[in-house]
Amino acid sequence: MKSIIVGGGKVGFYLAKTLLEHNYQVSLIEIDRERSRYCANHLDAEIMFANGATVEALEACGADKADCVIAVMGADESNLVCCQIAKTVFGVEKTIAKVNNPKNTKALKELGVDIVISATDNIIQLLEHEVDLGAMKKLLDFEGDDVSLVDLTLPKNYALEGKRLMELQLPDTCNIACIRRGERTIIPRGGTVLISGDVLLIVMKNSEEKELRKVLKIKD
Amino acid sequence: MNILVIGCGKIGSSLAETLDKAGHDVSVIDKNPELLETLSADFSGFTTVGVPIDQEVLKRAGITTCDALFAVTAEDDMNIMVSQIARQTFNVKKIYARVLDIKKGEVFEKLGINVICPTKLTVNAACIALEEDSAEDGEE
Repeated sequence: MKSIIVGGGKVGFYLAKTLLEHNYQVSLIEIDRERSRYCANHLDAEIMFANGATVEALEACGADKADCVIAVMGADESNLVCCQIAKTVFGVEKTIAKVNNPKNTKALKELGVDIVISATDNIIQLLEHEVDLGAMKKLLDFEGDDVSLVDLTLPKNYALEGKRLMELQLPDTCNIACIRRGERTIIPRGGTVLISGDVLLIVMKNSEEKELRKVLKIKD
Repeated sequence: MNILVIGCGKIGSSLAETLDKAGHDVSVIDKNPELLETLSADFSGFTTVGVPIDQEVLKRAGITTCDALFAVTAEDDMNIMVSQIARQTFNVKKIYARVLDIKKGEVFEKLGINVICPTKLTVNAACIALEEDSAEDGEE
């Protein structure tokens, strides 16, 4: 897999290192001379000293043959422009952008960036997950289908403790894919029982969230 | 018209003052308050300090009621992103972005942004000036 990383700061550098360990073919574009020299000295990859958010730099790096372009520069707007050029000029299949300001996540998604990563959002989700048991945490969105993969921890003294799944009227559009109970992972069947503290991995249609909460007796 | 100018550098401030004198209702955004202070004393428009890609800042500056928007900061990428947000999220009808990089400008022109490329304009003007001066020489 050929990938181009745009931005040789901490994120770009360690990303390049990791991808190289996974046997990706990596090129990295960095705009600062000193930094690009550092990358060249410490990475076994093609390092280009240039502004990566330009047609010329991406072309020189072989973007037309790249499987993915990952924009991790300091400026969200440059990451956006880089991904848009990669897609519309070079037809790169997968474009990934880091956003520093979580408010920009939606805008970048709407403007065609395939995967938008906000470190802030990710950390907040993890924090809230640790702190707020009984809440549904969205793990993944299946784009365009209004379906998500959701993580739900059953609270202490769960109201439906001991109830079997087949006794619950779960909406048709929701599926409990698996249950983590302590060290065990259970693929549930109708006879599987729910116990306080169980962590449910649920595939559900977003519009059915209220109904699901009602059936599972999980407060908002 | 209600016009929103993004960026109050040399171009932004000059543009804002020109449009203001021409009778338009002008609103200017810049992340640097000192640049907004360089606007002339008789500028009768509205100024907002803030990062232009922040939708709250754009709303405060009046993007929801503006007829035209000029993205003229010193950064091509910022101008391109603001223009797309203006079009996509706020349906602003007339949007113009200053993009210095010729090839980049052409890419986004194809994506539907009205690009004003100072580089191309300068090169064209320079060539025309030379032709005209050479023609005059020829006539003498």
